[in-house]
Amino acid sequence: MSIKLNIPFKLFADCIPVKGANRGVLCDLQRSNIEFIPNSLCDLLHKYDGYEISSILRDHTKNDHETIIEYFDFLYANDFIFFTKTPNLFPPIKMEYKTAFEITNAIIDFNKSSYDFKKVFSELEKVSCKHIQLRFFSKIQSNELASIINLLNRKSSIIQNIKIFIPYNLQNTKNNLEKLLKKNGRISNIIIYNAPKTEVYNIKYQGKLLYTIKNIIDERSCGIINANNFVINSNNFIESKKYNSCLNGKISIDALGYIKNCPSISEHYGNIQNNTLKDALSHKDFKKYWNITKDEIDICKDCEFRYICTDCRAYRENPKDEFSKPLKCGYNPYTNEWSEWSTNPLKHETIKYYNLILD
Amino acid sequence: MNEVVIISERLDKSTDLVIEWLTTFGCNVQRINYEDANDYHVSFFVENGFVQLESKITEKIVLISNMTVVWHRRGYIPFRPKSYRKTHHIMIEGFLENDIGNAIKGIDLILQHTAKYYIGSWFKEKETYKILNLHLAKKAGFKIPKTIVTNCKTELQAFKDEYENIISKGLDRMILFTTNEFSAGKGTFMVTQEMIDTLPSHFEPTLFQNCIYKLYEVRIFIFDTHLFSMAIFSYPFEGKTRVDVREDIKERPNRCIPYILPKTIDEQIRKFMKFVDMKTGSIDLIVGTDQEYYFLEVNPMGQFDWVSGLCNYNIEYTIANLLTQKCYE
Ligand code: SF4
Ligand code: SF4
Repeated sequence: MSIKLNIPFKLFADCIPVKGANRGVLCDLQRSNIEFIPNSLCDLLHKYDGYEISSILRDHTKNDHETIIEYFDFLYANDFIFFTKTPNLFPPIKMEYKTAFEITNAIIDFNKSSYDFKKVFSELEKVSCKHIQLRFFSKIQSNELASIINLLNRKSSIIQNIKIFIPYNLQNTKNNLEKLLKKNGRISNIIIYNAPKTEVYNIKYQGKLLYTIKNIIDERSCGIINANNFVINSNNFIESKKYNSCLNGKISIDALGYIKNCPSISEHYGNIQNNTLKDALSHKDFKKYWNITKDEIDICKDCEFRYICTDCRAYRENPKDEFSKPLKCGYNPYTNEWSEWSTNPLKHETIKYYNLILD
Repeated sequence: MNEVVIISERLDKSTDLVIEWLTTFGCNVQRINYEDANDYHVSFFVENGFVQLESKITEKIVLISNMTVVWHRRGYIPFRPKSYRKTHHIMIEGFLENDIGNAIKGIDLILQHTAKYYIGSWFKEKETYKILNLHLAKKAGFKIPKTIVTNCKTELQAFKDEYENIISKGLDRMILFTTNEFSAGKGTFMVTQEMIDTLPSHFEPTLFQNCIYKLYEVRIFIFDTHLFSMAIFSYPFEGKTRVDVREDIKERPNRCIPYILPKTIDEQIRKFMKFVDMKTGSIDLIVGTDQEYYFLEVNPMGQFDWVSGLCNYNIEYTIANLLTQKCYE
């Protein structure tokens, strides 16, 4: 089937074109996919969605016709558009982001820490936090981990998903870690970093054991922007349009027990030993980064990946500027090239400033 | 009293999400899962139409009365102790299933009147009549596929000759046979001339419909006065087959996008829901290549989480909001 020139075309509402400085992407939110498209096509789609292709041709000189037809052949062959006589029955997806609870996710750091896990988990319940990451920076034995996880086994707990990061340790055999996964159905991943080999084990119905050669030193290892971590779905896309894609809905407890938005940010709102998460949350500055969107961040605002990328406010190219680009991003939206951020000479001063330890 | 009772299943995600919103709205929620039959002593007081469930574990009492707002999401009130099920002879079991089912239906119908607000019904889910629904849909103004139920080969042949492409499906639900040894089933299937040729002149009554050539399907979830519509483009559409047949359907799932019902269709849906006396349910329509809306079927307790998620409708929020309002009315 070929394209129809005289019937209005519509982009499927889950396919959203995003313009960048130099090129655009078509974000296919239901199929978790992106296609690079020229900015000129983004403009055409924006202007003519719901009109006949013939009207585009009419508005352009003959020279452009072949290219325009090629564009639409490509869009149609890949199911990004359809033809309909009733284009106004197909509205866009509403960019409205709603969650029942203020807090959606938490990071809990552990480095030979002395705070009380029991208290931490009961506090997380009180703010109805559903997703948690436990990051262990110091060695931990699987039996210690088991007793921590046991605290999370309450049947009626609101916690849905737990991700655990632990350093590689010969004594924690794969078998023991598998047992841990089975102990608590809420654990989706155990990530074993600094491992001799990168390997993934899918444990049926239980979750994943991920061994990675990458190392995590402490909270300063966080915040790396990488195309592999892009999340292409409507929830993330919509949240990114309205809120900060890392810090919105997040609460953290750093290795010393300080309650923070993110463990890497210096501002804290009390310590878990004496304060509640609820009180921390109600502090007027707690959410100060929550509303910083990619559309407001320098350079990111010109980047075609801005609604599928994560963000980082803790490590910025310019530490003095809250709206500066994430330091650990090596992408240049003006040239469309990726380079290694850590060896970029322009970033050296800032790397020193944050006291980052590089591998 | 701001109390909402939800009758549901343990693993129903939509219920979880609605409850989250209800708690943030400050409602007191009692969730009753029909699998938890062993956990309750249940009594039904016929005179005033109240149902009392006493938890054997916590001794907490849930009273469904004229003070409560009830959302009957799935399942039914856990009336039969699980321990007794399947211990009887199959004949006794059959009797009990029917006998107690009769009471459960009765309670369902009575609660519709006694509770302060009651939405959803197991009874409607159990007793939905495809041909009646088609008939009422027609009355509400919809087009319906040409449909016959017949036991006569000559009638079937005439139908086939007239419409060429015809389909068949179960009259009540999907055709499904399971024993310990095997399982076989079929949803909707094309009826070929060869199939007809093998039939005797007189056979078990069967439903036949002409095949509607679709532009796309529309799924509408209805909750009280709220309608949420989604268009589904499934392959092949617009005469287009999948671009690459090797590709897994999972990689190219059907496109599901928000849809606005034309006003007349919106009104026909509301009319139909009145005819069948349902406050909630899911309706499947087909928009044919002739641009007409064909009514296919209604599911009284259908899932809506994918409509909500794919179209970002936040249906759970709307439901919780409405139930909260009903509490304070
Ligand atoms: S702000 Fe940066 S350091 Fe903090 S959690 Fe997000 S990505 Fe990590
Ligand atoms: S420039 Fe900004 S939006 Fe683009 S990849 Fe880097 S961090 Fe993400």
